[in-house]
Amino acid sequence: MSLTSADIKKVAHLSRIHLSEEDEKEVLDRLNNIISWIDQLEEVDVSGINIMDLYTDEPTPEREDLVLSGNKIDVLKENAIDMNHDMFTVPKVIG
Amino acid sequence: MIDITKLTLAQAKNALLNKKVGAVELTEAFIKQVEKKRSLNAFITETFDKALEQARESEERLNNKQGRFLEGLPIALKDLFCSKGIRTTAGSKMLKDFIPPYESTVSQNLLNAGAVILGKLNMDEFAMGSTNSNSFFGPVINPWRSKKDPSIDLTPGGSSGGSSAAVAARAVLAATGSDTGGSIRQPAAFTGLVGIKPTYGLCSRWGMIAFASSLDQAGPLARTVEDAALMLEAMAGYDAKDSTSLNVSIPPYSKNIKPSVKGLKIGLPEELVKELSDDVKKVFYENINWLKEGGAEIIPIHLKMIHYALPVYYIIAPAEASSNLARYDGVRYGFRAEGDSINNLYENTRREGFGEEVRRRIFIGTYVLSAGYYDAYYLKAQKVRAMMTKKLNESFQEVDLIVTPTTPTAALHIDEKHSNPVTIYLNDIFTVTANLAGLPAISVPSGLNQDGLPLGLQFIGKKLSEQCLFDASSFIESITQFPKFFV
Repeated sequence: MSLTSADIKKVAHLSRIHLSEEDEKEVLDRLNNIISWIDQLEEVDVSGINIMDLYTDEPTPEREDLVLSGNKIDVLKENAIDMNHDMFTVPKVIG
Repeated sequence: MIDITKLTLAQAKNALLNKKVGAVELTEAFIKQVEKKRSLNAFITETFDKALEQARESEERLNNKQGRFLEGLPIALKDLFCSKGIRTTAGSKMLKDFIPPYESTVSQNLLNAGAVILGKLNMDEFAMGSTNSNSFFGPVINPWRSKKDPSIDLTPGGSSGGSSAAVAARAVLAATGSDTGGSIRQPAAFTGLVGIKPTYGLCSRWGMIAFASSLDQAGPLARTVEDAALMLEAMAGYDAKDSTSLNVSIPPYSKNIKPSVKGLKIGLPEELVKELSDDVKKVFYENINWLKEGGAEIIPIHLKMIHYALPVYYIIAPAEASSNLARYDGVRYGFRAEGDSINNLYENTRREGFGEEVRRRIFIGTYVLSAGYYDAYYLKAQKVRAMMTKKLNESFQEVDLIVTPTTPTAALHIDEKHSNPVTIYLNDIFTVTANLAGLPAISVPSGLNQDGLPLGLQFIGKKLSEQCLFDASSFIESITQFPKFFV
């Protein structure tokens, strides 16, 4: 399989990464190199394989249902980019 | 007078206990060495004032005979272990000013053991890379030089390239690293160090900035096997804050080390090593002879599936990365680029905040998880991974260890450019399998190539066989006497 210009635009949108016209050709070439290389997996027969077999020997850990953290606005503020009234500010979302 | 930066971690530990050297004196000597080696660009952040404060506390504890396991020993952390109150960047512009409000479990364990932290070490951005050239803070230089052309700078490997360069340059006694596809073992091999990726779950991932959660594992880089064992003992342990943490007790690896391979059955995946360059092959088969002479039985094994390990890795790791890195959106913390709408803000932030390799892997991960491609790529890769893991676990019914070279080459030139990313990905061919299967693996210096550069030998073991890995590596070390090359 190889990616088209429409594919890479869609992937960039899903990734929320701006892709300029100049970037597009190089990104597409390099991704197609990688995709054509990983396509070799097509030749492996995986019928009857259950991926959950990977995890059967590990029990799921549990802990008591207690509130252990949260409500740390002051801590969050220390790394916040822009806050107003204890809320993160962003550009207008609704037009 | 001895140069105290030439001591190994174990020797420095004894020197402190026997009062041959003081904790402050030791820290000051290593600070000088860090300053002397700044041209390597191994550190992103130096924390000398804090280190001296810790050293003074250590000195008091040692004087009162209350020294802890790594009391007063100067080390440093790969810059993806969150340090409370100290900038932690993961080598990225996205986190260039990020100051974590909490401490990672691994670094807290080291602090609790009394280790003195000299700073945070350079790395490939978000641990994505094998050369350390993907760091926002610039590439790291390997302290080793090729005999053929000593003027050329070499890469210290990656992604734990700052860790490997700092330890090899004797700027710290040991360092932490993380290994998602080989990021501890490959830099260890390129710089003549011992590096171990323990069994998945042995070291907590809490507070370790995530790349690919089902593969990431912390471990140490050190100059000797004993030093790596001491570090791992302090770093590892159950942590309820990591749901994949293994609830097992950590044995005293360093005390238990026996430099022997007598009676061990060691599997040799011949189809994997047949394409090695003559240079690497020569050292590798010399190592195999040592193992035979040491009483190990070398058993040829066939792991055809391993040929698919790299493509599987380059589907699963980017898929997990695309999900883990979705949190960096410029809204709550980290870098923000302006945008006139919320979508523009996200897109500009992530275009400017992430480097080229990170963006590429997010694109790949997003593609293989997207509607219409999920079954063909992600699900298929997980199935091949399950098959491979089963096959590997079956091999461990016949052998105790599997042996391979750590890398197909010695350290690469720092300026080597590859237009096809796959060329650089192939560097991980021997290392990724252990990550995919969650198995422990170690790299130990195995000799020098014809240019006088170090090579590494890798042992892969079954789950929780770290002691066996240390024993076999110690046997190789007893022949190479490798630490002498640093003196």
